[in-house]
Amino acid sequence: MSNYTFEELRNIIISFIEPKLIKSGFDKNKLIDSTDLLGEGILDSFDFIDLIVFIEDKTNLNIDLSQVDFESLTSISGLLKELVSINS
Amino acid sequence: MKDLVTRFFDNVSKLSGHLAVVEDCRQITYGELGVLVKKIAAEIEKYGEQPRVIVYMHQGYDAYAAMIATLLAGGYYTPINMEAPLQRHLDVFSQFQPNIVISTKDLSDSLMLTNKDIALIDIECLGSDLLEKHVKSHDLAYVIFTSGSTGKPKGVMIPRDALNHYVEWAISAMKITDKDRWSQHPNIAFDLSVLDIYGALCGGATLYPLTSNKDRLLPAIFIKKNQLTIWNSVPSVIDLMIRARQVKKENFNSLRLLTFCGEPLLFRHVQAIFAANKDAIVNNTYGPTEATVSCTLISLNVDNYHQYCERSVALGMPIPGMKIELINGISPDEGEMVLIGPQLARGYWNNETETLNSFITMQNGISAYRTGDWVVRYKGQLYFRERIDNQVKVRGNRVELDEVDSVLIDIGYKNVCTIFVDGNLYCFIETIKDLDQSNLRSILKSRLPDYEIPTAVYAIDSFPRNANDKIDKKKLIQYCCSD
Repeated sequence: MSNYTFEELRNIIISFIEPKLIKSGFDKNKLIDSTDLLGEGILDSFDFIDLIVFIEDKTNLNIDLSQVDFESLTSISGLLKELVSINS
Repeated sequence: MKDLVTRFFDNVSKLSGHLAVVEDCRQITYGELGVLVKKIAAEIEKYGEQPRVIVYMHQGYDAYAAMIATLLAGGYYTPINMEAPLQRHLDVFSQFQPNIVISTKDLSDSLMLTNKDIALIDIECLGSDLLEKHVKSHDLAYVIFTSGSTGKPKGVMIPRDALNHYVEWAISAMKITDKDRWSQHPNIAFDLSVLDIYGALCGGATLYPLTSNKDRLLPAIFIKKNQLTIWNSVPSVIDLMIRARQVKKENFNSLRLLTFCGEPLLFRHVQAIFAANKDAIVNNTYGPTEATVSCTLISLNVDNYHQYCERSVALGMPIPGMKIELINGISPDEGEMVLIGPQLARGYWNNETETLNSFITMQNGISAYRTGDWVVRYKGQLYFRERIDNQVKVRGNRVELDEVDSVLIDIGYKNVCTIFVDGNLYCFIETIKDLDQSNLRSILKSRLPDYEIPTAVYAIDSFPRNANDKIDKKKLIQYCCSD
């Protein structure tokens, strides 16, 4: 990852998710990297697409949604894995 | 008029080997679906005539078969939104008092059905009997429960004749053939799904339900993957595609028709669609659940769409048999839209007060439905302006603002006000105490569907009020915008 460290990417994702935690009522302390953001109702479909666009805008990385494994992508760890893979 | 069950079985005969429904991991032909329908109907018939049935399943061919089977067996049904909280399901059960629930054992376990008057038909354990005869039908086809201002969902009773009228129009106006591959995006508890289910299966087309997370998040990729020819949804789904940068020629080139209902279609939607597919037709339709899905139509193409776009796209002209009148306006070209014709609902389930409020008798003695939508007529076309009550649409889903308030009043707050700003709900509670946001959210989530949960809940010492001592909603809107 040339421009962003793993932790910086994580922080970008978290900065988007945090306000959504309040809306969903999901306990911030229970959020772990493997939490299914859609399954737990933290993000809805519009939020999730906005998160992808937000990450792309912040990092200049292009996430080709038609090619990714969606079952793992809807967690922080899944997103990070995808971002690392794109950049490698 | 041909009954929709007859239409479906005509296709079972003519197109026996043709695919009726294609799901993510399984598919079914018309012949196989016909057998499934008859098996379910045979089970239903064991429990008496004209039963009330709850279809308690996710979207997919089992649920579609359960609906058609109920009609074949002479009954009427209500479909459940499986994404809504259990309390919401129980509210519908309590009001509808079904004789039969069609479900699976796993899904129905959460209901803890203890009432011995309710029979469970497990779709996974059907017998081999087939119902071959036609049974005398109930007057109703289905009851769809929508947001109700008292905090309890409101059941709209749709007659079978109204549904037959609508399906006949849809198949003809949309020129459905067995070559069509048709999306099934709306939840089955949302009446827009009625167009997909009966339009496709009575028209001989193949239906493609979007069931996985990926398909629902990336509907344009789904269109491409399945080379769909017809797309039907609320316009918000086009926004989702636009945001995902998926409204592209390569994804849209198989579509011949896109049809929308449920909320205003906007210029940006049609502009994006025609940029991706200049040969497509875009149908904008209008209609409340109380008029059987939709009762107007305007067909747009790449050459004419500019002339029908104002703040939103024109609502179109009434479909044959339906009539529109505008009442209470200061000129004949504006007013509350009133609908007249064979597609009107019978009223609300066990709710005479709401029925009398909305279903009126015109001066000429004809029954009509007051939509609550204020519209204007401009250059011969009708355009939506605003609601005249507290009903809003959140991403195409109908929400009574009073319903959100009711949940909070139920748990002890006295003064509550929910407002709608830029597509989002915001709730204000008059209290001097801090709010336990986490607890509040849990309660809201347990009672309301996702789309009815406010974006933010604010505590406010005292509501701003205007000269008439009414809550000054404009000031609350300013508060949201400045937050």
